[in-house]
Amino acid sequence: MREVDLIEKLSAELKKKQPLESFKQRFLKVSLFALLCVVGSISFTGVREDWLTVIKSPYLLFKNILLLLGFVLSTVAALLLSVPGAERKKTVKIFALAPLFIWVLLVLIEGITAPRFYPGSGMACTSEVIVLGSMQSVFLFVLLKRAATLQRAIAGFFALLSSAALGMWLLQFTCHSDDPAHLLVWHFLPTLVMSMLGIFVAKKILSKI
Amino acid sequence: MFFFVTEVKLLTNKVIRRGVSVVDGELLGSLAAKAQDGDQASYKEFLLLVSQKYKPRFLRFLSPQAADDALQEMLLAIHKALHTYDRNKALAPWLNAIAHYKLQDQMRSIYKNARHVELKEDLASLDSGFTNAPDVHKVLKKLPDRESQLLYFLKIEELSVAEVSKKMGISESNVKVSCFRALRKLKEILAEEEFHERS
Repeated sequence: MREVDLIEKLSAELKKKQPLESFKQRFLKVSLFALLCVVGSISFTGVREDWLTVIKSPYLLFKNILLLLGFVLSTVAALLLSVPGAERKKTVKIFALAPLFIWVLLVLIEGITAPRFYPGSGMACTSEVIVLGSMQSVFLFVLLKRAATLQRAIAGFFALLSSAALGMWLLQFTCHSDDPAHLLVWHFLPTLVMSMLGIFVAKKILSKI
Repeated sequence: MFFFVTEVKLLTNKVIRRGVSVVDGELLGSLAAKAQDGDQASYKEFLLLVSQKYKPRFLRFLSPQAADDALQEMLLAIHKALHTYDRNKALAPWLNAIAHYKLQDQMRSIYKNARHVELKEDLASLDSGFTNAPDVHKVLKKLPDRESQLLYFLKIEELSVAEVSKKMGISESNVKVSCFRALRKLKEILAEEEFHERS
């Protein structure tokens, strides 16, 4: 089909569509939903008795902030990638990965200096990451599907990374173990696996533009 | 494949970013905004202008047929993504992102297909241009050394792909892809010479 014919066809098919919401509106929606998920999760699992330690200790607070930043920046990356041309610089992706990368580095350093590397059992933690991550990611994918994602695989990766990172952040308040091995195996590894799955899920769910 | 894609991304990004000037961007932006409201006439004008602006850019990297395909893919993508254009922002980044992505997509698929081309059957049309040339050696000199050497081994000495691969120290898939590209380049050179002779 020549392009002139295609243009005629597309013009004839044109219908008025609801414009996509702005980035701020979409980010606000994701944040509100995340808050709902977190509140629901805490009411179900409860918080650790010494949860104030997480906030009072500067080091733990810093790690906490890194995880929260990981969630926020990954969400930003996923939302920006869902609109053509919205991602102006490649640094968006790098900034989105940086907080989690730093967190992993800190935990690895802790693990190297720890007397032993023993993750113990942590299926409950992994389940929390998966359940919370799945709920959040479903909502995020609904928003991505309404947009027009060119780089589906990368957007899917960041969507599930942000969702799973939210789960990791919440675990700082609900999981009693601060052992580096436990954090890496039962908190971070499921997050990494979920993010990689996001690449395949996005290609199935998001239509090719 | 990774290095090819990286090199292509840098080059195509540079060229595509020059696709729409500030003045054109304002006109196209206003047409796109009207199209979002359902104005079919404005939408048609918008798509026609987009074709005019971006086809020459695609032709710098692709053959006319492939450039047509890439342009049609771009127009379809615009149709699907029109609701995502924010009329309070410049149109150029939005349009250039789609163009860049579709151009890379097309180049990636051409590269992928070229790897699976079988010398004897699929290259027949390119081959005939080469082997039917009046002076094959004179024709071979028009290509860079490596490519003319490759064609010489494959077509004149009639060595197998495996033998050429061993002789030149490159992989068999590289031999096939390089041969495909060399013959295509040669075809373009011969076509251009024929055009100049006629004119």
